[in-house]
Amino acid sequence: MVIDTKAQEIVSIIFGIFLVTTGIYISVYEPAWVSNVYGAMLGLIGAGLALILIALWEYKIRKSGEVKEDERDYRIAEKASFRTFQIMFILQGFLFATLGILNIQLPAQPVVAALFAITGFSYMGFFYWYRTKM
Amino acid sequence: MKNNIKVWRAKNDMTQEELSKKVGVTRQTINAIERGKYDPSLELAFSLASFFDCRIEDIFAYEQQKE
Repeated sequence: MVIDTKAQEIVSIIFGIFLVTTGIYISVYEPAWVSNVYGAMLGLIGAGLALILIALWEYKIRKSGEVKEDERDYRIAEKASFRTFQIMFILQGFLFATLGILNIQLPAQPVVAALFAITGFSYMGFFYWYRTKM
Repeated sequence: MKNNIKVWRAKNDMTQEELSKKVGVTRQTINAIERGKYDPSLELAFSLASFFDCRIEDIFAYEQQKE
């Protein structure tokens, strides 16, 4: 399947601008339906800026004609994803069972944030580990 | 999979960097293939064969994995 890189970059930038604008809107108008204005603002602006910067970085690489990633990276990503999936599956299963047995109720937001962070760090760690092995 | 890319590179007096630019991959990928750490895709194998103007079998040889 051929992915149109140019279209992907444009969509990323538009979506990034949308997220940043929404973040700014929330911080300025503080709408009643948002329970945590500061968190929502930081999350949306951060995600939006990350999307815009990644798209601009990819555009720069494409224009320079330099090869920064190639097929080896896809094989590495495949392995890193699978290992991350295994870890997350075991960890979440263990957490779910423990919380159920001990009847512990945790606040959703920090738990989701922790799982999100573990997923990201696990993937990055495995990616670089497999890269050094290959 | 065994390969003799290094020999073909030497015949053509090329560095890994030069070859990688010709076939559109990174130098690290050429290095990984030469060291036998990575088996290239069919597309890259064809690109290499086409670049060296030879058959794929002249570069790559299948080697049975040890049990």
